[in-house]
Amino acid sequence: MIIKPLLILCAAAIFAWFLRSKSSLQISAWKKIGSIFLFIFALLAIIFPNLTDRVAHLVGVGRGTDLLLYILTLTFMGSLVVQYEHNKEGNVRAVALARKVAINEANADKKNQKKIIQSVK
Amino acid sequence: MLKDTVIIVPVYNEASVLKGVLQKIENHHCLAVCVDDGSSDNSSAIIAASKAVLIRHPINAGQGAALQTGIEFALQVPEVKYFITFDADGQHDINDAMKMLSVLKKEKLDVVLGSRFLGAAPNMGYQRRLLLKAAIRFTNAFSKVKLTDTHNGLRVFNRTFAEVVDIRMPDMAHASEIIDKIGRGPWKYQEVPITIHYTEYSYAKGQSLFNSFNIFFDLLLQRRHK
Repeated sequence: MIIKPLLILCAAAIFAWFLRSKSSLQISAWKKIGSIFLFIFALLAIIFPNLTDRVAHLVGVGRGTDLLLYILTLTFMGSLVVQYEHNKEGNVRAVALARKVAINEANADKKNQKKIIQSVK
Repeated sequence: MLKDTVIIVPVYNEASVLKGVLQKIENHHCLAVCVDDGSSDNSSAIIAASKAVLIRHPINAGQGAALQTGIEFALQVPEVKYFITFDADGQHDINDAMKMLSVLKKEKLDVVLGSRFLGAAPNMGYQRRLLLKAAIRFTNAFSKVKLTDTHNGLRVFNRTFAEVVDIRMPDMAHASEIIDKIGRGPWKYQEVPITIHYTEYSYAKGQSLFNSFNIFFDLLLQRRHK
């Protein structure tokens, strides 16, 4: 069965890439711990496919694949919300920066200074 | 020259009408502070060539952000005591702004808001009327103020209010945000009837019904964060 080593290889590569990426220093510790658990879970599910079936039966789901699909869907939805918030924060920062740059440039603009002096004198 | 008054004009791709609007402001001897919110047309060049101060956002940050930038810039000039926010698309009348300013001074108010529903808005379509009425209901329900027109860009306020307004909503939701601020403070405010000149141009630039859902959603989120 070639699929098992292939899946394990891919999972390991993604996990290693996540931990070794340059931005990993900024990734919070709990996310790293979470990723370790996720990796272990993935390994177990790949090596012992029956395990997911057993867990599925325990929680009242017919098949292990169904359970995996449910977890995947929830994870995807959760990650969408996290991305949305993340984008929003980034946007707030970009706007703050744009406003600061704009005011600094406007203050340095000689034409503007002249116009203001003319209007208040 | 009105030395103590500044007219803040957020500008986004208004090249075709901007010159006329700025000319009318100049005729009333007011200093205009134009915030070009990342226009892709030659709005900036038109502002630079006029008597108005030019501030340029390097990216499109939204009308609320543009207003806040203009206010912050104008606050740096100690002589400025009164602030007017004015749309660049030609739908506002400078005479209305002056009338509002005199009411603010006479009644010693902090904020004066223009209301098209007390005044007139010829050529306003029924769809827009419905949308605005819904926005008014919504804003009145969530803030302590009762107004007849909540999403009007024509406002006059004094320096004290300008110092604390701090608009955070970058996009159109800033209109409800400002009302919310008025409701929270000890501000003396009043509505004054004004005329909105709807043209095909201002219609095309106005808020679509669809976008108002976005605004509603953002306002709810903002409330959660408070």
